[in-house]
Amino acid sequence: MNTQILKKHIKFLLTFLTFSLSFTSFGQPPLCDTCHYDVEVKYNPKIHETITKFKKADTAEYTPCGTGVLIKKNISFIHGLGGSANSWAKQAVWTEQNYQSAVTNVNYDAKLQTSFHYICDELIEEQIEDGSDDVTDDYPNRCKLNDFAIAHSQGGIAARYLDWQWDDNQNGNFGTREFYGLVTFGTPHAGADIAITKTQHNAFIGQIASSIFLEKPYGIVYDFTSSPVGAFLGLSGADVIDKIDDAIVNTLAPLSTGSLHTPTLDEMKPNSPTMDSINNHHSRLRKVAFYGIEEEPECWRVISGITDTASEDYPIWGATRDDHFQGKMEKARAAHEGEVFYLQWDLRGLFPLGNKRKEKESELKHRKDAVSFLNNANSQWRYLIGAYHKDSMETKSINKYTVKWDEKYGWLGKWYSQERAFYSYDEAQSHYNMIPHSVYKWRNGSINTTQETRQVQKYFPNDGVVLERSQRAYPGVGGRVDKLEGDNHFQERNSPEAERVMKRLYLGGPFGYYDPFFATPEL
Amino acid sequence: MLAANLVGCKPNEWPPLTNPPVAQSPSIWKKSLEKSGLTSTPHFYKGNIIFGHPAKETNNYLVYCLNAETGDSIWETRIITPFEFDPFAGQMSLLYEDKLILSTSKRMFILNVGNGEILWNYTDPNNYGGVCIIDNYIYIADGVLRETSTMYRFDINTGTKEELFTISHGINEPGKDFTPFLMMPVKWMHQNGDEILVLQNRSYGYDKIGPDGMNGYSKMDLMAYNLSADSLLWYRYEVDNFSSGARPAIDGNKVYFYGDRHAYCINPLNGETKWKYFIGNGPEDDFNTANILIVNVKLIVKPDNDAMHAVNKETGERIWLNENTASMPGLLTVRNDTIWFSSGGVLAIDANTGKTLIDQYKASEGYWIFPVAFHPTNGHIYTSDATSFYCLDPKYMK
Repeated sequence: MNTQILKKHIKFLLTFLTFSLSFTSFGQPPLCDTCHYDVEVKYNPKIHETITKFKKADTAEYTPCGTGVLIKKNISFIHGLGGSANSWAKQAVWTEQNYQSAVTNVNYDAKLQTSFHYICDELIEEQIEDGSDDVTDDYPNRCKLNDFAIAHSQGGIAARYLDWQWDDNQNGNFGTREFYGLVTFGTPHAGADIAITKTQHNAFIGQIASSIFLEKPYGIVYDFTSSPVGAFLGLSGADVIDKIDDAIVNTLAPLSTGSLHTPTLDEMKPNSPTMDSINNHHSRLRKVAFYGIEEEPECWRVISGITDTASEDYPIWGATRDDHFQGKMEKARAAHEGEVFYLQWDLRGLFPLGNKRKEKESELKHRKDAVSFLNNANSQWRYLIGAYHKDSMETKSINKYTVKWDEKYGWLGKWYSQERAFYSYDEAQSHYNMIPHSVYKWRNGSINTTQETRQVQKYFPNDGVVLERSQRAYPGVGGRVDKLEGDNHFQERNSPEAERVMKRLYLGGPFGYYDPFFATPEL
Repeated sequence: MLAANLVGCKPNEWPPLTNPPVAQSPSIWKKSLEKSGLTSTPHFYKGNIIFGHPAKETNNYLVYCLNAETGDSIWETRIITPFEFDPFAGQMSLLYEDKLILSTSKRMFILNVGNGEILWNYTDPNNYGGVCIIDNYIYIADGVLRETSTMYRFDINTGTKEELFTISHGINEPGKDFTPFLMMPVKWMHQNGDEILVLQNRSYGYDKIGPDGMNGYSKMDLMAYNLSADSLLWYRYEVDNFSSGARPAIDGNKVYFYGDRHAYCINPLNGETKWKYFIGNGPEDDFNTANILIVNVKLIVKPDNDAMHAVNKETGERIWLNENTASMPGLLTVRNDTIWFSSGGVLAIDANTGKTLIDQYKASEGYWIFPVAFHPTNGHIYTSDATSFYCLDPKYMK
């Protein structure tokens, strides 16, 4: 391998790492009873108690503008961790161009090594105040009591932090209230379980990276045994693969996850002092919570959205599902499986010997590990985001479909009784239909349904990053929620589903969606 | 080989499996749309299927008429407005005889479905809540400064606008000190021959604390307006609280509304409640997004959660309950005793038994959230995934 190709590999790896955890996400394949999980997350029942917390405001929600007054709203858009002004830019422009409202598109550096207190006090609050003042300059008689904010992910926690500080302004840093309602998209109101698993992120990203790194990026086989990669990383010897993996996990992965692991992520842990404070604050904001639910493999879908095309890079409301990364990982898995076959073939005899043999054995182990990881990646991702808890099992009755038949293989052959079990009726039916095509003669075919009781991992729906119930756990939300079907954490700002709910939000009262407070007439 | 057959093979030496039969695709045809967006409710008209979808150019909207069998284009009409025009909500696209009505809460366009010609259009100085057609009139009701709500109607042929009646905010008004929002009516014929509009005033107290302890008091007032006599026939104050804005359904001398966790059967003569059906106290036992559907003897009750109820429309007794449909549906439609809607996939529910016949079918990874139209004879259905429009054969939808 020449140096250029090597550099290309390293660049690809770093780009991948930087993107893949510039916002937390992972994951992949189906739930299986025999899968092993590398990620240890302690189950904390309190987390789930918090999520069901429901507090009504002591003094009712803020009174909006009454009748006969000039309502010229300022709607503030607040992005999340890893976002920027671009995150909501198109939606803010669209709102201003089509509805009777002014907008303020907040921009703050979510990667700063700082706190909610800092970003709310020093960055967000000031921008919203300036935006509101600009509108008031143009419309001095306007009623501000209908101003509200629309926030994504961490932006929703920041908005709630502001709400709390405005009400409980102990140190006087925070000015006067600038919004009276809040709409959140994918906000972890009960905390982000992913914040608990920070230490596992590096390992997970490292495993993804090394699975790709030792594969065939750009269609060129990376022959690590004779390449200068060892020298590049200061490594040598037959255990080079293990050392490369170590280097990826301990050196390269933290480079990318470092920007994510900010103090604000710590503050978003379930039951953290910050989350407890805002959840115990009897907010009077008007509220609507939109929540995304993604289908498996959530992990690859979320990473697709980060590594390929960001949500905001699509046209307005055009962020559709991207399976590119999933396809890439499936290719990697297939390639590893193929190489495993050939390596096992190579190692079946006495030769090769010595270091050459060790290298091949090491490669075989690595590739087997990669296959195992890729098969279980989504399950592991689910552990990282809290969609699975090791101690949270449930007993389920599931249907088992047993296909039974007799078959024979020749004119004088004897009859053999056969049976095969399936857990999907369609698969059983399909197998049943295939029997006549696969044997010489058959008879007595049947599909019997029985029930089996099994302990299965309890699954909590999520948008690939935040659990559904955390997205919805906004005290006082009540029925003012709507599901963004099939949207992952990033899509949910700019998908057709986001368009649907935003239009319903602005339709407000007459049509009956959500809360009339948010009604914003068309121009 | 013959010898092998005669003596038989061992079970693990079966002949190799042949390729499995290829499943028939449910997709009959599909039409790619110019960009991802919200498709309006489709309609079948004389062998064609008609729907609207945003065009790629800003503030351009395209209305398509396609051959329902082949998907070939019959005509296309472009609507260009100074602001976005997107009649996406289920009940904002209506077909009446040979006319298509497309409406947002601000403006509407009336098209000749034979050739796509725009017959007339209307832009409201304020905003209105919904649109419906009764006989040859299009009805709308606006809301002005949170003070008044007025019902208007337009002659569908000429576009001539006529003001019908106004409900105002005020302590001496029938809805009292609440901001009125008149919803779309149904017409009932009084035994004396008078034409009566039965409707909801979905009124809202912006500055009031509601029964849930929160600020903002939502109440469902019901009323009947005598069009022939130009007078209020009856007004029922606060029949319930948070209600659905969907148009009620009428069947003989019964009108059906969705209130707060209850479906109501109302006598249009005097507003009396004949029965009410309780759906549950869950957090999403509400009706924000539902619409009302009558199938034979049943009233279909679809709250925002995963449940679907069928109740006897005469007595209000439950006939069946399916707790595992999908939440937050769009418009429900019915054909041959099957209820269709989309919510993350196309669902079909047997109206007689409540059984789920098709469970969130998706022909693509797109957004399956749009209402379903039907071919009247061959059973094909028509819907969108936000980027393409599909003709599907339900026989092969699993």
